[in-house]
Amino acid sequence: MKQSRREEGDDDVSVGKEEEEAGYCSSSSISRLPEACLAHAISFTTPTDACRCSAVSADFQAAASSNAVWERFLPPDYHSILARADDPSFWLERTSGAKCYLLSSRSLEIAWGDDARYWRWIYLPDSRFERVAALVFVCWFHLRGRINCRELSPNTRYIVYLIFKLADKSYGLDCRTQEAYITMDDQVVSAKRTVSLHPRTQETPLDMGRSEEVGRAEETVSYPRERGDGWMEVQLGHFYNHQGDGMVVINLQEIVQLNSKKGLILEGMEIRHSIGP
Amino acid sequence: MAAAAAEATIDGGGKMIILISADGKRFEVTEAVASQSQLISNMIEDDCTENGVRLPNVDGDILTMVVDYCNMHAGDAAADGDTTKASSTEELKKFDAELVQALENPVLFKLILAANFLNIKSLLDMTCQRVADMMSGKTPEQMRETFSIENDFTPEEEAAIRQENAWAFDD
Repeated sequence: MKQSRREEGDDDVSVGKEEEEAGYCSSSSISRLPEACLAHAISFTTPTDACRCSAVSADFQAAASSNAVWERFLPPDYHSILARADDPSFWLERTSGAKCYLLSSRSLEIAWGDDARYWRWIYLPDSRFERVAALVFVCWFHLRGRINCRELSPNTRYIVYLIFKLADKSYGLDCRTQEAYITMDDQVVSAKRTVSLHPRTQETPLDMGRSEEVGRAEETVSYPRERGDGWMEVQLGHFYNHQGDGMVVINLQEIVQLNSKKGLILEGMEIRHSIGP
Repeated sequence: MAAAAAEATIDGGGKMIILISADGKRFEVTEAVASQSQLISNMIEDDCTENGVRLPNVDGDILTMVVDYCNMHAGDAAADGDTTKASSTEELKKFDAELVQALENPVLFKLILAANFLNIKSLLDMTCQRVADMMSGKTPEQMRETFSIENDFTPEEEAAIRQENAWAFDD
């Protein structure tokens, strides 16, 4: 730091100010700050800003990539999160830092899931998990995922998706009475919606439910989309996590029509931060 | 200025301490005011403030701001349960906002250096927050302009960094 000499008690800092300006600026530009100070400043921004900082200059890059910055972007309980096994697998949404989860099929409650006549547990190379559930055949179809609010980011809107694939000979997974809903402490927070696991175009001869009310079904059905990673996803509902406690339960079921269902390969339920309104 | 600052202190701080800036300006403050600096607080504990505390990296004009800030905030820790605290909190907020908004870049950075050296966490946070506000939402080019920084990356290096974090760069 520049050491200017001034008379003691001289409060008039404007004396000699003009000639001082040039040296003053160059001697105390942002590049003179220690890396720790710059990192401290960057830690008050967002992950997006920090990444942009890293493209400014070498000094900025060093500061922006320091642990001090990224520790601050992590949830305060990240140590305990890291200490957990990867099921349910967990990540942070990049722009908000919100906690997101993929509940593996193993962690879901699957009706008849442990009966090999109905469901098999298979190895798939592109799954994040050792085993995924593969539907052999059922009529009574019910999946249930659970997560405690405390494990999610507070004051955050979440959307839940079913992550899955269809086997070559899949059928019956688009009945109009196949519905998803979400409860929080037994209160419905995401109303029942009809969910088809078959893409919109597929003909499903055994779809007895839909044939009765074609018009209405077309408007309200959630259809899946391809993800680009080999899996498909379909929205099951959404909810807002206020600060606090409580059990979120996500249901997907078809227990009315009880038509034959076959050929579902289940990666799990993904609970993602909803960006936007 | 130093005298005015001293008058504004809450009585009961006890012993006075002399802070001496790089350019020889002297500031008389109470221990309560000075010990908001962790550095000076440690020196007080070690009993080595008797002959004044020389601060060879802090200019007088910057130390003036630091002392003003510490005088304003001296009540923070002591005033718990004080019924007048609500209004004084309001006042402090206003004082802090005005202080930090008025800072031109070079002075802001000097103040950060001083807060860092003296280890005054609240002042460091506040000044770094101001820098963060100037960064947020800007592209790398805009940040270079704001802070007069030269791009010392080769085009290849910069492209690689942008590639690595491509998600942060698309608007």
